[in-house]
Amino acid sequence: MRKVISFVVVACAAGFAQSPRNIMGWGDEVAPADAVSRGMGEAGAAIRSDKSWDPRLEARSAYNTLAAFEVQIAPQLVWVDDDATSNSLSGSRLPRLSLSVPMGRFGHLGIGYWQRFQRTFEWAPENDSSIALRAEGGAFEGVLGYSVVVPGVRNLALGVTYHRFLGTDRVFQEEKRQFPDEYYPVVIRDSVSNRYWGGQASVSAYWTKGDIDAGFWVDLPGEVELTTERGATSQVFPEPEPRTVDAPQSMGVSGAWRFAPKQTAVALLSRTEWDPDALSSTDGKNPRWDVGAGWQYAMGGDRFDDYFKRMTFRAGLSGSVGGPQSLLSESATLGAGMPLGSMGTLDLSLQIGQNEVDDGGPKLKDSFVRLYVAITGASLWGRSQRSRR
Amino acid sequence: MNLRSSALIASTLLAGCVFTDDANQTGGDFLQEHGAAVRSADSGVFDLPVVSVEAVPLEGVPSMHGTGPILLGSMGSDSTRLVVGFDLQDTTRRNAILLRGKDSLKYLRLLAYEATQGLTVRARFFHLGTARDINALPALFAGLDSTDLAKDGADAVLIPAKADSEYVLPALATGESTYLGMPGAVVERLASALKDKTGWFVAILDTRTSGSDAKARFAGVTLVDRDTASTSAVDTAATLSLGVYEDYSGWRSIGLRPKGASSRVVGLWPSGGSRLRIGFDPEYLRSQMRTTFGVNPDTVGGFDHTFNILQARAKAQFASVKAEGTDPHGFVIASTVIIDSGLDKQNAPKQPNEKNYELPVNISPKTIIECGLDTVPSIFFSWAPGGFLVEVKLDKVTSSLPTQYSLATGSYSTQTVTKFFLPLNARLEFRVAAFVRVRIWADRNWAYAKWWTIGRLPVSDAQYRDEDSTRREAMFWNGQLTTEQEVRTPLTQLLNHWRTVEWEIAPRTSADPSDRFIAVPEDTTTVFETVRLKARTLAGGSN
Repeated sequence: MRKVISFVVVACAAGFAQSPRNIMGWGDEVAPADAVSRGMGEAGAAIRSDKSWDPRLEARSAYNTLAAFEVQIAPQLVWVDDDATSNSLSGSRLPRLSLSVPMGRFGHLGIGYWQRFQRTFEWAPENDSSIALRAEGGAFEGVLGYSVVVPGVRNLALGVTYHRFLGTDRVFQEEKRQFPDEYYPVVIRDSVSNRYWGGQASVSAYWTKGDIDAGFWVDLPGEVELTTERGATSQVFPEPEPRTVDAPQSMGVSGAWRFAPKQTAVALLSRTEWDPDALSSTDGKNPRWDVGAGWQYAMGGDRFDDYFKRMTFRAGLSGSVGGPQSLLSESATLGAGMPLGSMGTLDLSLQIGQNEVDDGGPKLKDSFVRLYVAITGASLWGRSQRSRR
Repeated sequence: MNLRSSALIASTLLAGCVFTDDANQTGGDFLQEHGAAVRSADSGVFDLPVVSVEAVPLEGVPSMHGTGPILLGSMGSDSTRLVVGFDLQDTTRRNAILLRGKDSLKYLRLLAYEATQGLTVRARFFHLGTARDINALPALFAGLDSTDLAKDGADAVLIPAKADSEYVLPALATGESTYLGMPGAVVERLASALKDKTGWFVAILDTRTSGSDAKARFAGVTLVDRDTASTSAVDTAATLSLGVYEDYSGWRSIGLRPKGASSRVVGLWPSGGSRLRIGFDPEYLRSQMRTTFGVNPDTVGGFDHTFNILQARAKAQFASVKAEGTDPHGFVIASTVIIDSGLDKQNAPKQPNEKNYELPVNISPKTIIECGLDTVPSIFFSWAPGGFLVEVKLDKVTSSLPTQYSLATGSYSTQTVTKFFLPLNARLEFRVAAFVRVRIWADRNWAYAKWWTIGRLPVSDAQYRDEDSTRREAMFWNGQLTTEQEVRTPLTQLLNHWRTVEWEIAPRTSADPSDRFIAVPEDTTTVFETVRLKARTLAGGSN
């Protein structure tokens, strides 16, 4: 039954309808937060876990004990408003897939897919069916991480992560013109596509002692080969020449404090800087600052308790300001973690927020309600059934 | 149902929730501000100045000698010449004549293919007695006159002074024959040559009926003796059929334009035809559009992508249109985008027996690969009276290259060879691949090959009004002398930097290969009275 449900859930992620805001920068950037962190204002990167993995803070996973496979999907409703008109859109995201493999004293290996940028949207003018604008695709990341607890320093772990940028996006305009003296309409197409290919490494450190956990990560300089190709009906364009730009570079800190036996507070602050050459428009604010804070209440029951007593509840706030272009975002989250099987979890996180473009140009505001559905299957790999018990 | 199952089902339902939205209509100004084109651009109408008109032979006309209809006639001041050749060395046929003891062939017999009109024709007879004379046969098949050959040193071609005779061919019903009695000097020379088994006997027939549109189509031409004493006037058994030259039967009909007539016509005639290549002034057009639209040029990567030409209408006024057949006649217009071009030249053979000169067509290695060739096409020139015998050799291409002057085509393993006779200073164009066009010409000093690689195949614009019918304005109906052609092929590339776009106007072919069509523009320097474009600014890329 769970397999069927999982399939249906993933299949539902196929539908897309997103905000025109995705035309900015490399598209709408999706935070890589794990299932637990989503419900805490996407600020729980540092909260100690036995199976979570964050592609930014790989070092934390050195303390993982369970092998875990995590799938996230996020159906969403977006209300787009430009002062003159408003519209509601629905769609889904598949933000990430990950596999976390603890290797005991040999450290931890994490591998994941992160749909980091999404270009997807559709637009058509009111009362005019002759023009349509569509964007699709995006740049995603394949991530490989390794972390290990520093020998002799049990509270400190170090991690390194390699991010592979790859993917293609395209903005596609189609216009149909019918002249009164012609039988066949003229169809004019115009498109811009980008191909991304590049790599970047990041390093992270994680310190945990008692009720306090803290993590720090920084992206090392990396390069992305960006090939922009233009196409239009009847036009000849030169062969596209790839250009190399710096990968967006971020650094951040995150902390968690278990201030009560069942309660934890988390916070995150990060900064992401863009290479101006990587963007077609550089009039936005750069860098971008992300901030988040959250809270978790774990009921703390064991497998013999009622289901409710084994659940976890979360809440949080997050916001960001800045590039790649001038964007102002705020959101609030509520989440719940539910046991799934003996070790897995189903985490639901409801995010309500808005994005507003603050660049002095035409207004565009998205208000969204997003439900992150994260299913994490976990297991003790490499141990016999007996030792698991 | 426990809480866990409820949570699973709830999440699934929520994940799959679908709200039916129409396409999003919000954020148009925002998208426009960020580089996306969300509004239909304004259109404008512009006149495109024509700056050059060049007449070029129809490309790839499959008109090797011995193929197509046997025609004789005139159309206005244009005429169709018929050249027939008999191989006197063909012992098989000659023996057949001798066995019957009748080697006296006095008549040229013309068998009507269909009902024909009466014609007055001028006949000239030649005996090509030596090997060098026989070299002149391709020149005669190409429509050259003996005087042209004499100028080029081929004075051994027999020109009997009294053999220039005029005949009146009666109107014939299908299957009927008419007999041209040859002058005594010709009959004697022919009898002598038959005994000696030497050379070729050639008859050239031209119409005298200038100004009329008479035409006669024949099913066959033979040399015969005839029992004139018989009341039924039947042929005797002795008959000499047309010879075989380069594997094809030895005759050819050639459409000729009178001296002094404009070459800038769109035409289709036996063994050839003419199309017009039009050149434009893109710079003028570009500046005109910038002024009208008031936009800054979009010149990404050195190309100009500011404008999009949606369609063009070209109106032409013709001084005369001569057309045969029942199909409505008209033109096709094809736009060709030139990507690259080059000119190669080589010494030309100046005298008989001089070695062949090879002229490679130096297209780029990239083009060679794209064409599927192994190496560059090679063109070999050897001397011939009145011009050159030319061979085009292509490796790894199996299609033949029939042209206006083709003599033969053949394949040797993976190599295709096409033979031409190229008259001195005549220009010939053909394709060595779908997108490589080659023009060759030569004088007695140099042979030239100019090549173009074409970015877009010249697919002609179908002048459709609806799915099944043609735009009436594009065709000639009942003596109408004006046409309006619609062009929707890539004229926009005229405005893209350094791309030359050419229009080629060619006659529509007819179902009947004997149909002729000649349209003479009123102003042969421009052909089109007006070329009017509908254009707009390009929508512009996004992001």
